[in-house]
Amino acid sequence: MAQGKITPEEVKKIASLAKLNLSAPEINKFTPQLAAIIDYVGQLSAVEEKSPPIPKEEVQSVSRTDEVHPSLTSKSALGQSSSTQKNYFVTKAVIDND
Amino acid sequence: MPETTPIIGLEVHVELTTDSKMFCACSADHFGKEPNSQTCPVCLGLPGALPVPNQKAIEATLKLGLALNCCVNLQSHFDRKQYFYPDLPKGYQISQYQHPFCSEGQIILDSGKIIRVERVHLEEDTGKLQHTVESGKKISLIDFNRSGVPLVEIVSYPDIESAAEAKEYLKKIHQIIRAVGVSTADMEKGQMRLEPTVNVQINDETGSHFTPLVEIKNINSFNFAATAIDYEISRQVEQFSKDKKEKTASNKQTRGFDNNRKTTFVQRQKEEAKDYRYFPEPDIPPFVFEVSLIASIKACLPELPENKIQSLVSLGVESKYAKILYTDKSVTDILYHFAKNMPDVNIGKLASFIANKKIRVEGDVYIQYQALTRQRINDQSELEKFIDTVISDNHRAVTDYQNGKTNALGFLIGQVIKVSQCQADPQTVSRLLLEKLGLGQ
Amino acid sequence: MTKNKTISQITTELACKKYSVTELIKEYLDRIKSENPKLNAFITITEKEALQEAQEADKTLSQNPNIFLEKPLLGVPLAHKDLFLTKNIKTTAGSRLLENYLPQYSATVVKKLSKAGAISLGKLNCDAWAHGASGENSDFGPTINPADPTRVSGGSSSGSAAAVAADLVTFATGTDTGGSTRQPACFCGVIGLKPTYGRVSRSGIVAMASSLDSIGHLTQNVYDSALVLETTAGPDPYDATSSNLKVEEYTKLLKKPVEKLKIGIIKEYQDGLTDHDVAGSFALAKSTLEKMNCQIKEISLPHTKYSVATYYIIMPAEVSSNLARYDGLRYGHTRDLFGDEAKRRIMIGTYTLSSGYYDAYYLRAMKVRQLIKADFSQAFADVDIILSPVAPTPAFKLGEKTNDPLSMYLSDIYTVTANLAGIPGIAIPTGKNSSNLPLGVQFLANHFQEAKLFNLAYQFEQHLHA
Repeated sequence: MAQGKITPEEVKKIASLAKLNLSAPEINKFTPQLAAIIDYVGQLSAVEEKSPPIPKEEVQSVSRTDEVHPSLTSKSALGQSSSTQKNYFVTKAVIDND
Repeated sequence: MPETTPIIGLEVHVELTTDSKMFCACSADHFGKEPNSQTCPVCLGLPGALPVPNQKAIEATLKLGLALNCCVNLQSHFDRKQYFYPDLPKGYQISQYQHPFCSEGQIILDSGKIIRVERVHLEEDTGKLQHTVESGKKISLIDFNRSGVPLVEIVSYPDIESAAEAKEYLKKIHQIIRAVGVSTADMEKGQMRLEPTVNVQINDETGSHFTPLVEIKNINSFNFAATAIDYEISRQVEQFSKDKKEKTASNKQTRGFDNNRKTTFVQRQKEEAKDYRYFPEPDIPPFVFEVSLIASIKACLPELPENKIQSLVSLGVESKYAKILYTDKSVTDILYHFAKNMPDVNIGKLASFIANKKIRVEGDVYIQYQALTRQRINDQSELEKFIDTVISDNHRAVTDYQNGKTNALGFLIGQVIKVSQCQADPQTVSRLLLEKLGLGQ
Repeated sequence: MTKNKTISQITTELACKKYSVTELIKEYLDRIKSENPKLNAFITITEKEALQEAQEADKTLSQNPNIFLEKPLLGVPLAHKDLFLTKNIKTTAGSRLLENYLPQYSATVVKKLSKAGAISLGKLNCDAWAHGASGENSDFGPTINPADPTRVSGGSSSGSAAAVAADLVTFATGTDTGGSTRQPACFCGVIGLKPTYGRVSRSGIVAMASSLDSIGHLTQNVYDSALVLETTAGPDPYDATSSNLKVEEYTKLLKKPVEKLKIGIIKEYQDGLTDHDVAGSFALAKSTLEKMNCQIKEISLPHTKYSVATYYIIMPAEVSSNLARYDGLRYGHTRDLFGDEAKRRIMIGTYTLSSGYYDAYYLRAMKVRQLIKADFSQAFADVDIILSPVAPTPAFKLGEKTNDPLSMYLSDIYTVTANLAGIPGIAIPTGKNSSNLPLGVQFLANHFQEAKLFNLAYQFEQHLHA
């Protein structure tokens, strides 16, 4: 289990991974709070690592037949967006990704 | 001169041919449809919407994996692959990471070399982004019709060592996909997408070195794949000679392929190793497959191209012709029929005639074969037997000729040819006929 | 018994024409208009739609007086926690990020309750994204406890609990991921049910933590709770985690004798009952059960001390993933409208799932979760029902816990275990303290044993009010 407090640098990285735009004051506010929480949950490292018993049969192997049902109309699909053009959603340009 | 060995891995994405999408009942037939006309809460990533897997897509994945000689993992599940991108409505893609449906398969190249397949797994496709400019600003238009379409990912180990091998591997995969019937794999429609990963091992006086890994995107044909790989190999060797940079855990690069210049180019300046934060998909219960199900799928697999080709070869067809002809059932039916029922026909020759278009399969194949392979009857007495038969069977024609109708001779020659099964030489027959007719009845 | 009308009272009175559905709904709407400004239980009131449905219900009733067989909830006023998508009716999840969102579809449970004839009066306030145990994380202001205007209603189903307690509706839907139906029910003095995970469909409900979210409801009494579950429970083709197990006729099984039922008391909780009122409530429950001739037995759940830590790893991980779709592109506003609590949970989740930390946190937590499940399995081999407190204190004061997120998390200690194990639980009032604040306890049963749960809870309720 990773010991040591979480740093503002790490919080900045996490926020970026989570697409949260944090201001510097926010980073400073959140860092000790997150540190306390991570520290608290870290107590699980004390639990002995014995293999847990195999759970009773739960729901498994669920699937559905390959058949088509009506879709939303494009009006309905696009209707809640504040950024559409003709029948497309619009966003500012992104650099090519995967 | 340093010794260089290319190391190539291939990742192939195949759009399965199903009626509905992977996790919802929207139509999966998205090509050319009005934008955003085939979406629902699930594939549009609306709040509260939950994924329910498509049975046919799962079976197709198992079929394909088995056809590629994989083991099916009897316990499997979906995972969430998390990243942000406008064409990914949930902010994660439902895919498979730790326990894919199928793993550890192989493709055998003609040379006998084995290319190992690491995994065959199932995931959902993303929406489509279109880049354009509006009022001077660069924008992206997004269409989610393709979002959620089932996609099988086939990943090879980096066992491939040349562009030619890569091309052969891709062709074989393509054939198998179509033979098993899980996808039409039409490259032009983007139903089969290719991503080679290339690096080079360079052995010189200072030891063994590996160039940084490069993943090449935006390739839409096998030929382009080969071109891109060849270009990339040379580029990497040259690059290494200049900067001696070696492969590390974090310097993998993504490059695009330029069809026009036939070169690769850097897609992103600075690349960080992606953290996809995979974890098991909690909205979809895990899968447990019975061994009997796997056995029944395997038993029902259609005959695969390799097998069909081999069977023809064992009939006597040359390998190069077998590879062309095996796809045409009307041809293979003929070859098998003749092999079984006509011992005098040389199957190898017949196949080559058909392949070279010297025989039309719609016509009488046997006669065409004979015409091409006929041996002349040299024994005059045999010929005379045929002629006598024709004369005695065709009084009318004989009489006509004797009464001055010269056309009747042509008719009689034709009859002799027919009766002799084309083995009689027309000129010899003509001479002999005239002799006999001249002698009179 | 509560002065508030129950479902069976209403359906009986409608059947014998004591009043019409329209009159009934008008009365409730009037009460909402007068009380809601104080309580802030509703985010949206759907007066027009409700009256329209009431008129249609009256018509149906006049044409077919036996309609209650087909529509057991006909005419009954309810409201939905604002996490439940209601087609074309604003659904905010308690957050400004969705302040103008009109869903393109309704949740399965919303459709089921409507089909059974219940009439929705609006959407109920909650902690934004269901993140909270007080109602103070709502972007639309906290819901006030009807018993005391200086105190919280509990959370995250704050509006649901307050609305039922204040008789603004007869029953309300809620969600319970770590106690969010049971705890506010306890704080407000109503019945709160958390069904078995998978008993009720999650489709169309803003997801908090996919493997923990349980879809429940708050009612005036146990009978109503059982009745509502008969409607909401069942498999759903839109939810792959929903169970195919037969839904029992819970209301018909309430009067089975409960003598000799074995009730477990958790050894590990006994020292923690430091609040005088909570301890008293628990003791009262225990003695009532003894009077009912149930057998009280001490059981041990050795891993229960890790419950909160386990929960606060698994839940934020799933939250961080489920909230990734809110990017402002297809609906709602951009991510900077997430409040502090949402941001905290997203970041914790992102951290514990990230490369290098996944094994130590998420994977480890999933393993401990299995140990906790096994503890319960073993306990239920020994006892039929478990009796437990719901919260460490009665409803606390507004602002009392907002400075320390961690201390707020720790108050979940008695409720998160049921979510980790997936088992059902019901919170039931035991009385009030000297300041008139509601007190309660909860019963827990094994997976899909809601019939047993309701049976005991019903008899317990009868005994308490005897």
